[in-house]
Amino acid sequence: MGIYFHIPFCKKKCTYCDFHFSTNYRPYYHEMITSMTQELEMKKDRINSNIESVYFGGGTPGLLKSEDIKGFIDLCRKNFPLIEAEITLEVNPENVTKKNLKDWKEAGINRLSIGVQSFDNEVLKWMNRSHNSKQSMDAIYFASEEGFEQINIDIIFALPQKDSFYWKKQLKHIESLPISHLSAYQLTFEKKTLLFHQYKEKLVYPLEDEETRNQFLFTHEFLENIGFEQYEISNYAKNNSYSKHNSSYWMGKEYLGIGPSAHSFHFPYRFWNIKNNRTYINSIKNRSIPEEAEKLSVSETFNENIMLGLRTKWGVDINELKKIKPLSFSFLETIDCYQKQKLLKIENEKIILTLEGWLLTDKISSDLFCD
Amino acid sequence: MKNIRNFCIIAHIDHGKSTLADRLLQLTGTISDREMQNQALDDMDLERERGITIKSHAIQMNYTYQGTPYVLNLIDTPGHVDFSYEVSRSIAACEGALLIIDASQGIEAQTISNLYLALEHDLEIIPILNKMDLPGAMPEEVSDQIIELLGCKQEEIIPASGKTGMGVDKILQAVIERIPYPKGEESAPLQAMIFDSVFNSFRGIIAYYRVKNGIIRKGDKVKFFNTGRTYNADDVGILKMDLCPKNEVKAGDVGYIISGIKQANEVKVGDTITSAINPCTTAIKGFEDVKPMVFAGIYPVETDEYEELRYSMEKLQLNDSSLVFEPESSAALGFGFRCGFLGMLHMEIIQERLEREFNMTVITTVPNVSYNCFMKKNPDKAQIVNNPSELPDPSGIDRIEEPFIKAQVITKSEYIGQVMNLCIEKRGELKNQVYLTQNRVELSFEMPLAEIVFDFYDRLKSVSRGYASFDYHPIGYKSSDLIKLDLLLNSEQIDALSALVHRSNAYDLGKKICVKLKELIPRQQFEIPIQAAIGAKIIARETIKALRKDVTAKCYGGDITRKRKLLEKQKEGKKRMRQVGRVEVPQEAFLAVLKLND
Repeated sequence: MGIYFHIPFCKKKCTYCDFHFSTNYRPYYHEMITSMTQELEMKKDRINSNIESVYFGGGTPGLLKSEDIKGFIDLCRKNFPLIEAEITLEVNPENVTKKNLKDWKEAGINRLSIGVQSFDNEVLKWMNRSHNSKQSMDAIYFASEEGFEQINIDIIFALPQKDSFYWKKQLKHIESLPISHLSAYQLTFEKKTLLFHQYKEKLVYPLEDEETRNQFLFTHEFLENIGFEQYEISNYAKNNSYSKHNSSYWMGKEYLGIGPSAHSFHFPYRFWNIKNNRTYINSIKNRSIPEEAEKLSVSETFNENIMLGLRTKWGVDINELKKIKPLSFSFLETIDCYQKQKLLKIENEKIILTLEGWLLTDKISSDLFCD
Repeated sequence: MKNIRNFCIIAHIDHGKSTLADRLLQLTGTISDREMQNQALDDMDLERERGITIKSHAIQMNYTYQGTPYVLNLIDTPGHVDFSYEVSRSIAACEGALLIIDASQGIEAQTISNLYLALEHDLEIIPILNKMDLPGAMPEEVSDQIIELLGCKQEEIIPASGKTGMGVDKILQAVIERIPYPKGEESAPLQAMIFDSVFNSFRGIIAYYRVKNGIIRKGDKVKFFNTGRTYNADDVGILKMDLCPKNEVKAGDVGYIISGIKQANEVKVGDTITSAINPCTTAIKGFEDVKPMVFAGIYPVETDEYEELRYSMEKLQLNDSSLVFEPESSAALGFGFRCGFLGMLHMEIIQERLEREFNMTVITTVPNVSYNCFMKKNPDKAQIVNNPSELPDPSGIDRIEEPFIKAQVITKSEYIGQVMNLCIEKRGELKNQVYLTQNRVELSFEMPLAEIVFDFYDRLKSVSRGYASFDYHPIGYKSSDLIKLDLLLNSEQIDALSALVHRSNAYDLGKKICVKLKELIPRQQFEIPIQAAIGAKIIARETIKALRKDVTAKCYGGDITRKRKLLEKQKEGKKRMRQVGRVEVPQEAFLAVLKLND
């Protein structure tokens, strides 16, 4: 099982981001920490197996005071053994100082995820990030020197008007970095972002599909050549350093989310907390968890298995699927059809998408959904 | 007979006919407050949702006025132009009509044409200003319109409100005092006119009639004059909230007959019921065999549901004899039916009923009218074409005729320009222009019916911002310069998308349809050309690019629900698609032509 802490603070709003956070958090920072601590206390009975991962995501968890990070980890430890658990902290390059690194390490953080996003200062500015490319490089090397072996960086491809030639030059920066993991996300235009607003105003357009495809394919080729394995649509790992926490989402493992907007999964229920910092704090003060829930039906369980499994190199286990629901004739027909098109393959009773298949994951998944 | 009053209601959609009718039922104690459902007269869900009565019904009320008991028969009329023949028969069964006008809206085209029908049948008209409770009511202005139209006196107009119950007692009073009692001979041979029928799954067809002369008795042998069939009157009676069996129904009254008839098409609205033993010599005049005006193909989305569709259509036909269909096959869509409808609303209703009552997902093709095609070899003999893809080779055609209509549009004077432009664009010819009041104008056009079938209503509504009402009557066939416009998807001609169009706008239409189809057909794993053609000549082309990427390589944290819902929606969309050749085509694409201006 995993525990996720959602830290709903940011210094400023990135152009493309639609995650939940607030930039005016200082007045209630302490209240938030107290509330999240209380929420974990209130929810600890929901934890019924060994904790394999703890993840601080956001927002910007790098803004947390080191003692608060330590506080959360200690609280976890007090309640559940964290034997060989992966404990990840998401940070922005500008948060990474030698002092912070030491503190984080001491608190128990053993994996860092650094929001690099781009190696191009102009693009970083356009994204409204607070750091520059040099700060990213420093952050990665400092972290490595401080003894962090598990380092992830996030990068974003398919930027408007940036062609494959540009992207290839960008990837070059990664070549010799001391990182174990990389997440390459495609820029998407989400509602309620500045980017989406600009798109509506016709100031910016998404990159064409053909270019996006090429960049996806080239990223794959480039990273495989330097020893990375693509184990999920957006994720690459060196020497099997897969992200335990993120993998648990795709493998249908249970997880507990703490903080505003955090999601939890306890089969067959999915829960999500309210996306409002003040309401969240007030509700916790009244000893009530501000969450909504849905109960997955048999079909929904089936569909989620397909949707999540197909995103990974491990694929979807046919026998697991059969346990949820018998396979329909049209399901088998669809599998057969995509197999002939070399978009998927069946290996050891697993349905696995090929690289070309990954490019059409949404279509293939929804085609395989049951009614 | 002196104590019977037969009347109907003439009203535009939403002018409050059903609510006012409910009030009459309530005040006469025909329906108790407890039983009172809103709009008790409309008993199909579909009708209630649309707020209009699709099929007419009748109901008998008892009311004592100044110490004398009266029998009041209210015959409900459908409020849409598609059903104007049925309206005419309902009117023919009455001596009077309540003319309901919304005091905040004024008179509409549909009301006027039904009013003329009522005047033709010498009905006594009782004008009612309804919805007087609304803040937007303009009683003086609308009264002036009514006086101008009817030549009645101001005092004859009854202000009312179905909502508050205002004026309802005055209406009943006027029905008794102003509407003449029915005239007829009880001793004459039986003559009863059928004005409606319904299908009951236990009892078969129930026909509603007005007895003009004679008496219809339980157990009589009766004959339907126009079909020539004879039946046994197993059950006769009058209509309250439920059927109310009687031993006899006499001249002047309204009643029902059940005689074991299973097929709706044996009972024709307007037909005369008479005695098989002592028949009348002539039928009640005005009978017509209603002919469908609009044709379209209906196909199952899943090809193997053809038999189920046939079964569902047969069931529908049992209680809707105006629906006609015959099997047809399309290269693109496989086996289905070519169906004839009274009009566009009727077509929509049938499609909706198939989906709701029979759970069928169907594809409806572009509707068209019935054409007369004359060949060079035999230029005097018309060949009827109900499906554009069946049009003979153009080289052999001498001429094509299409049905024309007389269209009446009533609008505010400020929209005359826009309405005229629209009608002219639709090949209409202005015939008359009359100011009903200072700012309400009636425009009359002659135009091809086919143009109404395409997006006319929606366009009219939008150019007049909703301030236009519309009615039409067929006026016969005229020759037109029509050509067949074909559509090709992935280089294959899709017969279900062919249309007969006027030569002058074929290019424009072809281009627009291609653009619309490009919008409606989702990208697939290969490139799809969309072409419009006249004969072998391609006149327009668009291309749907191949789908080469359909994935969001984005982190969505633990929020699995949102992503799953998105994909479920994608799946849902696919369910309504039909495989045509290699291309998956969504249902809406087959009606693309109707939505060119969206």
